[in-house]
Formats: sequence, C-alpha cells, structure tokens
Amino acid sequence: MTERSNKSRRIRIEVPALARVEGEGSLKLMIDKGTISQLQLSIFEPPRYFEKFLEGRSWQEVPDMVARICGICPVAYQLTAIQALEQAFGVIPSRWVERMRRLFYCGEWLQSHALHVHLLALPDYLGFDSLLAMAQQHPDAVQRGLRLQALGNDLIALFGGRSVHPVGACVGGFHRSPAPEQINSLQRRLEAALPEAQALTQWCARLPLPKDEETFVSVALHPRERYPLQSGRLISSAGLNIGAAEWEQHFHELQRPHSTALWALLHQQPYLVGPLARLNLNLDRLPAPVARSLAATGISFPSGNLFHSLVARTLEMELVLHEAIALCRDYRPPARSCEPVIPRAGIGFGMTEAPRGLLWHRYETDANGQIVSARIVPPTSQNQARIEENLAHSLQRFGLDHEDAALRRHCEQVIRNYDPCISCATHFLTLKVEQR
Amino acid sequence: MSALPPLKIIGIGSPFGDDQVGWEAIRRLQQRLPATAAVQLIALDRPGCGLIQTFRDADCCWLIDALGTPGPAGRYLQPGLGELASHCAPVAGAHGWGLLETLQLATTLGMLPSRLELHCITIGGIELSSERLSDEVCAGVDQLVTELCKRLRLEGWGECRP
Repeated sequence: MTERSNKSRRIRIEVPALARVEGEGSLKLMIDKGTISQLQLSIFEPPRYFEKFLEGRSWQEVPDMVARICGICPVAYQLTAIQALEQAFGVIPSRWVERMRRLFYCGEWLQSHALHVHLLALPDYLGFDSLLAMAQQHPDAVQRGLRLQALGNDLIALFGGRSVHPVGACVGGFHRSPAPEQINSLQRRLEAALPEAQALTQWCARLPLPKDEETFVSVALHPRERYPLQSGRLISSAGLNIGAAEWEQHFHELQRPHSTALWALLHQQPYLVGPLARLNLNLDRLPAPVARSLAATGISFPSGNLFHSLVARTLEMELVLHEAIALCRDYRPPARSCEPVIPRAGIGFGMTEAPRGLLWHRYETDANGQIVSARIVPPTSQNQARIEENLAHSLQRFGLDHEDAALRRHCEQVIRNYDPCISCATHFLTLKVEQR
Repeated sequence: MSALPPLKIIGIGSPFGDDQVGWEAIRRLQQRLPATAAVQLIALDRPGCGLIQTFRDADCCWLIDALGTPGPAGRYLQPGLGELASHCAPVAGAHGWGLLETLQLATTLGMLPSRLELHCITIGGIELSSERLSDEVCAGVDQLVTELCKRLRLEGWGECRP
C-alpha cells in the first residue's frame, strides 16, 4: 500500500504473510521522506510453550518431544537435548554413537539445505515469483532439489524410523542400529549425489547474487578438527570463545512487542548464526575437496555479503555428502547401539549447529531424571535482530526510491536468505497472568 | 493379478483432529488388506514436495487427504486438480505449500503417475487440541474405505477382509 503526497513520497509496505518461509511472520516497512521510519519483522505465530511442556516429564520423553518443535530440523533438537541430558547424567556416548549421530545430522543438513536452496531461495535469484513459475524454465534444478532432499530424508529415516519427527535417537545412543546392507545401499546413493552437489555449488556461485556487503558478528561452533555439526567451542568473529555452560553470561534474550519469538543479543549487539557464519569461522576446518570446490567459486570468504549464504549452504551440502560417505564406508554394526543411562539430579548444556545455525539447550533434572526446567534457544530467534538490522542497511543500499513492488521483493529476498524457521522460534514467551 | 502394476495408496495427514483422515484410512486398509495384495500402503506426515518422490515411480496412485470446505464435513469427494484448486484457500506458513501446489509442481515437471486419483473427505477445520476424528468425518472415512475396498476387489488388486 502506498500513500503519495505532492511534496514527498510516503511508502507503507505490509507483507501480511511471508511466503516461502517456515511458519507465520510478516513485515511492516514505513518510509517517510526518504527515511525508514518503521521496520519490523513481526512474528505472530502463536507461542508454543515447549519449555513448559517439558517440565515434569521424564528424561526419556525429551528427545521425542523436542523433535516436535520443527518438521524441518527435528534431528538438531533431538541431538542437542540428548547432549545436554548426557552431560547432566555423566553419560559418555560410545565412538560408534558419536559417529552415527554425525551421520544422522548430515541427513538433516542435506534435506534442509536442499529444500531451502532449490525450492525457497532459487526463485528469488532467478527472477521468479514462485517455484511453480521457476519449474517451467528450470525443471532440472527443481528435480535435483527434490532428489537431494529425498536422499537427506531417507538418511534421517534410516536412523530415526521416519524423516519427519524421527523417533530413533535416545539418551545414550539409538534405539537400534541400521543393518550393514542398508548403509551400503545408502552409501551408493550418496556417492551418486556428490557430483550433483558439486555442480550445484559452482552453478549457484555464478548466479547474479546481489552485492550487499556489510559488517556483522558471526557466531558458530568451532571444533578442534572438523567442520562443526554437534561439537566444538562457541566462537565469534569478535573474539568470543566459550563452552556451552557460559552461554548465558554472554548472550541475552529479550521480548519485543511485535514478536512472539524472543530476540537474542551478544553483548547487547545483533549477531549472525547459520551457514555463512559457520563458513566464515571454519574455513580451516573444510575437508580438502570441499575447500577446492570453494576456491573454484572465485568468491572470497570470510564474506560480509549475506547473499553468499546461498553458496555457503550448497558448499555445506557437499561437505555433508563427503562426511556421510566416509562414515558409511567405515560402518560396523555395534555390539550395542545405546549406552546404559542412570539418571541423576544435575544440570546439562547442549549446543549443536542446526542447519539454520546455533541451537542451545539447558536442562535441570531431579534425582529421577525428571525435567525441572528447560531452556531452548533456536537459531531463528538469534538471527531476528540481525535480520531487521540487515533489512534496514540493505534497503538503504538498494535505494528507497524503487517502486513498492521492487522494495517488497527485496525485503522478502533478504528475509528468505536467512531461511528463517518461525515455527521453531516461537515456542517460548514470557507469559504473565494477572488475575483480579 | 500379477499382471497389474503395483498400486500405491498414500494417506496424507497430521496428528491433529480431522486432519488425520489420510492416516486413518491407511490404518483401516492395513487391517483389512492381506499382505499378498499388490498394494503399497503409505501414511505421510505433511510431506510437502516430498510427496513427489513418494509417488514418482508409481504407475497407479491413490492419494487420500482431508479437504477443508465450507459445506458439511464427512463427505467423500474425488476432486480433479481444477476442483481441488477451487476448494483450496491460499496456503500461508509451512513454506506456503500444500497438496495443490505439490500436484501442480509434479504436473509441471512431468512427474505425476500415469494414473493418479484423489480421494478426499471434507472437514470443517482442524482442531489442533484434538487427537480424534469427529463423528461425521469418522463416518466419511468408513464410506471411503468401503468404496476403496470395492474398487480393489473389482479391479483385481486384492480382497479386503470384512
């Protein structure tokens, strides 16, 4: 909607329901005499209260309950919660369990990134309003996305029993281990998919990505040796270097009136989590073939261009295919797929890299292992302040004198580029009930 | 019977209220169809575009889903794509993607099974706090399963138990 006066242009753009994102959010933008007077990414999806639901429940129920937070990244929720509970109970998972969790997580990254890149983001970069329109001219690209997403889903289902809200992971390990022939069959499919992923990276790197450099703080896990998935210390481009237990000393969550998701700030400033932040901080952790693929793109990382997130995602798809192939190649069925667990009173922390970025959990348990309190900080709520900041800067660089439709398209492209998962972000809200 | 290409029956749904129509129909068919039937029964939880991968290698596929319409709940409909489009409101959230968009995409990509049928039960809305089907929709699923069993027998896919 636009209001124009003779002297100046007053623009009001409202996107009541953001398309091609997970969950329900909207955008309000007001530009008055060439200045942005209001810009709000509003998240109006109802709060989901997961942390309260968890209180009083048994530790054994937690993995399956938190998987329900998200249909796209349930593995991240399960593995982060399990990591925290194992810390609280003093459980040390076996090497087989650690490796298979990494393989399980590879499936989630592959399906989530394939979905985002092909079905949600590419229409923006190729100049289409919808996936359907894009599919008419780029059917091969869409079919590739569907194949890679399905492969990721099948990998999740192998360990989880099903790809949506899987049920195979538990504190201590997995309820069952896959048969070697299942792993062999999967390995062949992963190997066949690798050239597709490699071609995808180079293809995406040659798309006309907007030039949109800015300064921001990247935050991601940084393991000793490998690219981060479910281990490592938390570092930032501003010098942070902490363990999971120290998160609350540095990060602060707050409520904003226009959002049912909490905002998170690092030392009172917005920050970035997700593929670009991970890649910026972990270039030295890339396996050699993936580093070569990155070099071939000709794009210089670390990058301050948020639109390079697209290439970071495709590169991470290559990476998880390499990882998954290696893990399948060395697969041996274990004597047991789950370590014994004796619950106890304690506090545990977990942090892993969900496809969209850092996921942090904290649980307190009683002597029977029942949950006394839970705290879950998902990536989209951590990125929310960054998205608004990025939108304001990016719009100024894009030019506020564009037509409304172009401004709206640009805003949506900036937001979608974060692959926001709004349903994940809204499972908490400080609820104050006043009774008279 | 062996000359028939395998039939996939896919029930789409979620755990919520009347949106379980597809799952419930599959559950009842699993109870009634012998394992020897040339029919693959699949229940999917809001598959989005993933549905295409599930039916892409099938010659014959029947999709079962709930259809939100203004009229009475529990009616059994077999809409075509055009009719489905007229029933479906634009989807918000969940990537803005529903069954209609998935079938349109599969059509564009030439990935629809050569014989695809839609079998829908109308529902009034989705009660998020309920884990049960409403009585009207439950009766609609009875009718749907009866009709499907009749078809399976007549066309030689398999004989349902009473």
